[in-house]
Parts: sequence; C-alpha cells; structure tokens
Amino acid sequence: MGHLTLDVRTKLLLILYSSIVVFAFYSFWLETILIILLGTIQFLSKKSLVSLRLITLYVIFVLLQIFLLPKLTGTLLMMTSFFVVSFRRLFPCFLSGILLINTTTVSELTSGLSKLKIPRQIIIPLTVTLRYIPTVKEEFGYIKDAMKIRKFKIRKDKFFSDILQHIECYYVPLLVSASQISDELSTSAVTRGIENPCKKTFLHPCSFGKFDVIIVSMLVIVLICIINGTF
Amino acid sequence: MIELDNVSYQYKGSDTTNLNNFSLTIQKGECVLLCGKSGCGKTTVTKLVNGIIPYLSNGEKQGLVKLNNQNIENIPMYKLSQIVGSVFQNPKSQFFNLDTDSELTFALENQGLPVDKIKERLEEVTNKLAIHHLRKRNIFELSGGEKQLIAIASVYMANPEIFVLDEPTANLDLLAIDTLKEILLYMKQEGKTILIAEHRLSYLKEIVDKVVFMENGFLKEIYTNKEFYNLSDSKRKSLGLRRLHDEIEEVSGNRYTKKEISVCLNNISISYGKKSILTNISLKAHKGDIIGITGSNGIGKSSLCRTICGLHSLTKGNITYSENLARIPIRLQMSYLIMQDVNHQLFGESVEDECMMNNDTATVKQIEDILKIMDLFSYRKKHPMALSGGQKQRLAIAISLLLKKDIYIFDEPTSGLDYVSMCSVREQIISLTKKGATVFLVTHDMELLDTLCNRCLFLCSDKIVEIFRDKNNYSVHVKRMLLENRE
Repeated sequence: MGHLTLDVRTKLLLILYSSIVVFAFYSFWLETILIILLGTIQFLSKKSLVSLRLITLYVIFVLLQIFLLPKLTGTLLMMTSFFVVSFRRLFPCFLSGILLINTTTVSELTSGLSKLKIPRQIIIPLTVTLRYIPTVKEEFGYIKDAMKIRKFKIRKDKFFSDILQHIECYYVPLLVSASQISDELSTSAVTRGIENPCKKTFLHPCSFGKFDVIIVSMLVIVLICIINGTF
Repeated sequence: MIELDNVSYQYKGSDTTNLNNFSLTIQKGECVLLCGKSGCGKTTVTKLVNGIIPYLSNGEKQGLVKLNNQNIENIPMYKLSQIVGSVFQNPKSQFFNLDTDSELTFALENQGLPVDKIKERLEEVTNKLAIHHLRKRNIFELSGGEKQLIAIASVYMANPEIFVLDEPTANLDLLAIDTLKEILLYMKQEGKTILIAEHRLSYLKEIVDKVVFMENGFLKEIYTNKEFYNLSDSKRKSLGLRRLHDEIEEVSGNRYTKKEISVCLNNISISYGKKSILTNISLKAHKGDIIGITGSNGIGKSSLCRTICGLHSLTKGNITYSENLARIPIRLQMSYLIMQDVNHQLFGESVEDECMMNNDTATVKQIEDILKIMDLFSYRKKHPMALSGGQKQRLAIAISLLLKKDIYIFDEPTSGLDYVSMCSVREQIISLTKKGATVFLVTHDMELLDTLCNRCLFLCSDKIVEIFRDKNNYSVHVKRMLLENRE
C-alpha cells in the first residue's frame, strides 16, 4: 500500500477546523482527539518521522504541565506556563499546518484553490508563500552557519541585548534574500505565462478519494458531538 | 526575427544609462553570444528581448525592440512567453514549483493545453533531453547542474522559437556544461534562435555564429565566430574576457610550499543523520597551500568544508591543526568560511560596524588599515548590503583578517564573475597565503583552478585523490576523472 495522500481541500479544512476548535471550543478531550487524528494522518503520510518527533515534544510539554508547573510560583510560573500552555494548545494547528506544507505541491494547491473558485489574485500570492517556505528553511541554515563562524553568542550578562542582536542577524539577511528571491520567482513565473487568462489545465487535478471522505466524515461526527455538548 | 533599434535603457535609481544606443539584428536560427565585463549591459539586452523590461522593470527606455516586426511592448506578456523562453543564472530561484514534473509542465498548464497533449510532450522532451533520472524529484534534492537542466527542459517543453539564456553556466560543473552544450547544439539544429549572455566562453565555440562584445553599456564590436575564437590571449585579456579555449593555458608546474603542516585530516568519516557522506578521508595541508577541491556534484565537498571549519561533527577519525588535536571550538576559532552567497554572512549596519562586531581585540587603527588594503575605506559608512558583489566578498575577507584566522575555505568564490573580478579574487587569495594561511577552494571554475591552485584534490565518497599536473593542466585531469566517476 502506498502512502496516504489527501486532497488539498481536506488539508485546508483540517487547518481551519483545528484553528476554530482550538480558539473557540477548547476542551482537553477535543484536543486529544484532534491530535490523535492528525498524528495518525501524518504517520500514514510520508513525512512520518517529523511527526513522531513532534508527538514526543508534545508529550514532554504535557508532562511539564502536569509535573513542573504546579511546583513553580511567581514570575517564573508566568513565563513558563505561557510557553508551555500556549504551545500545547496551538499544537493541533501546527500539526495541520505542517501536513499542508510538507505534502502539498504548488500545482496541487493551485488546482485545489481554483476548484474552490478562489480568484487568481489570491491564489498566486498563496502559492508563492508555500513555495517560499522551504527556501526560508534553507536560507536559515546558511545564516546559522555564518553566525557560528563569527562567534555570535548569547551571554548571560547581556541576555536581552544579545537575543535582540541574534534576531536582527537572522532578520536582515533573510529580508535581503527574500526580496531578491521574490523578484526572481515572479520573473520566472511571468516568463512562463502564469498570467495567461485562459482556463488552466492541471495534469494532476485534485480529487476527493476515500481517505478524504473518511476524514471529513470523522470531522463532521466530532462537530456534531461538540454541538450536542458531549465535550 | 529580433531587432533592437537604437535602444537605450536606464534602470530606476541608476546614475548612468545602463545601455546606450544599442542596435542589433538577429536572424532566425542564429545563435548570438553577448559578452563583456560584469555590468556591461549584457543582462539588460536579454531582459529587453524576453520582455522583463519594461514589464517588471520601470526604468527609462528609448528606442524600439521588435519581434517578427512587431513592437515587443504591444505583445502581452503571456503571449510573448510562448515565443521567447528564458533561462536564468540562479538555478535556485527560477523554479515556481517544488517538484520537477510540475515544473516541466507548468508553462503548458498555464496555456491550458489538454492533458494528453501535455503528457505526450512531457514524454517527448524527457526522451529527447535524456532526463528520465530527473523526473518526479524534489527540487531541493537536485544539484546545481541538474536544476539548470530542468530549467532548460521546462522552457523547451513549451517549444518557443527563441531561447534567451542569461549566464546559464554560472553554477555548473564541467559535465553539466557539456550537457548544456549538447542541448544548445540540438536546439540550433532544430532551427531555434538563441541569444546567450555569458562569461564562460570556451564551451560555446561550436555553437555561436556571432559574438557581440559590450563595454559600459555600449556595443563595441561584433565578431564572427572565427574572428572571435582566434583572438590572441593577450587581446582577450585586455578585453577582460574569460579564456576562449580550455586547453591552452600555461602549465606552471606543481608548486610546493614550505613544509610546515597546518591541517591534517586523519581517516575522517562524515554523515548527516544516518546517511553516510564521506568515509575514511585523509589529507595533509601545508601553510601557504592553495588547495582546489573538486568532484562530482553532490559528492560532499561542502560537507567536507563545513567539517574542516567546525560547523559539522565527525563520526570517525580526527582533525589536527598544526599537529594539535582540533575539536569543534578550536576549528571554529581558527578557520573561516567564505560562503558562495556572501549576503548570508554580513550582519552589520555599516562596513565599519561590521568589522567591529564580535571583535574585542581589533583597534580602530587596525580596522582602518585593513579597510584601506581591501579598497573599502571610502565605503566605510555604507551599509554592507549596498555594496557590490565583489566588495561584499572583500569585506568578508577583511573581517576574517581582523579575526586573525589561519585557515580559509572559499566556496565557489568566482561563480558568475568576469575575468577582471576573477583576477582580483585570485590576488586576494594569494595575499592570504603569503601571510601563512592555508586556503581550501571548492570550485567548478576550471580557469581559476588552473591558474591559482598549487594543489588539486578530487573528492570521491571513500577517498580523496591528488591530481598532479603533467603536460596537461588540472582541468584536463578533472574532466577525465569526472567522466570515470559518473555512475
């Protein structure tokens, strides 16, 4: 059996769904169900390793919340609980976002969005963003190397100014390369006729498969449970 | 077919006109080469022909560019894109898609062709250009040469009449250049019109019909193929051009330096995660050595460099500096990597600020002196990102001099540089070694390798082979070994 592949529209639905659930109807059981669902999808998709690491991280955060937080007091509690709790609560959104970024090709996204009748003026910037994320990752690696060579360090006595310097050092070269790369990307898109007003063809048009049906129906069941007040 | 009539152009924000009264006619089926120093206006001409100017660039344009007797400004961009195909210098950012198949079909999908037509063309192009091994791949896994091949193939998919290429070989190794050459020859046979702006000239000898030499935005001379490739070596140097022939460069013998050992790799192995990259590599380098490192694309040259300068750890073996064991902190302390894209390693708000950053020992006087040597003193108040490519590279070297490093690693320092800039990089490196530094040089630029390095190493995954010059120069041996090591 091959890897699990989902329609891009299902993935977008998952993002929307988890954001709404996390921000509007939060409950512990709901969170657990979402994480198990998203985790299983990732595990069955080809980027299984990444999600395994992430799940471990999640477990660590849950353990931290159960065992460490009750023992802390004052400002320390405020700072740690902010990181731990907000990271944990946003976790379903991370998972669904990672799923979209790691398993979707630019042309799938274009085809999915145009099937949803989203205007081209919105599709093009969105696809460029998706295209740009892995590039940022690559650029980030280079800058990290360069900073190591120049011995940028975070010292205890100058903690905050060093952190600020660090952020700036990532930010400036990234900004420069972003403006350059976006120029070059748009040049390449334009010289290959992206603006052609005719109806585009898609070699691999997105289509709903049985997995999409299964997942969407599971989401509907959960939604019904929420409305009934089960969670 | 293409007609440029008295065209001048000035980019927005530029002090001078970048192209002056440029007139050129290109016949159907002709291959025209544009050459000259960086900034001579080559790229501007290519942009005028593929419509990027004025479409994406708002400068001041005078004169007419005509395509099949039609003013190019009256052709909508998407229609122009079906007639003119463009290949650019940077293989990293000319892909709109992240997988090769979508990239190949991108232009045809935009045209709205039926699916079976696209599939048919995809198979046809795959066979014609022999790119079976590159289908269904992730863009980020490809080497520079493979990326450029996909870029050309995806332009060829749409079957345009005219091909415009802007420095397509800037990041390619010898074999990839050979492949490109074959493809260009093939396109010429098919009667395509080709306009190519390029620094590397030797591989185009059998392809071009006409050579246009430009200087400071002016067309200086139009040569026929024969006239151009018969120019004497001193003449081409005075024009500031890269070498015209690969073979005839003086062999200067194997220069050996003082026998003081600086870097030693003892049976080292490197891996990323579980993936083993290099195994059992040993190497001795002396003070004053300039060691060229070559090898097939993706073999692990940059991993080796990252390891030597302490950015990556060893899985086996050890590294010594001056016969003392050098663990990661020491390697980071003593060595310096000049990256291919220098933009990544400049962080300061001004050139001066950049020099003082993270450096408590350098005095103002020292900084001034080094900036003067590097010809950067008059720019000391400027933002590093506002400097030109060559100036940025010199600034990176200046920083390393202030940090008093001993071991230098240059990653492709001359990709896309003209003859004069290459010579200046060469001077910089030689002056470093005169101070007793050891220099490693990863490069595909055979002209640089032949004229600068006193040693040349060919990297394989399980060994490192030293190449010696005999009556032939390094590049001849490197080419032979690349062919032997091709899977």
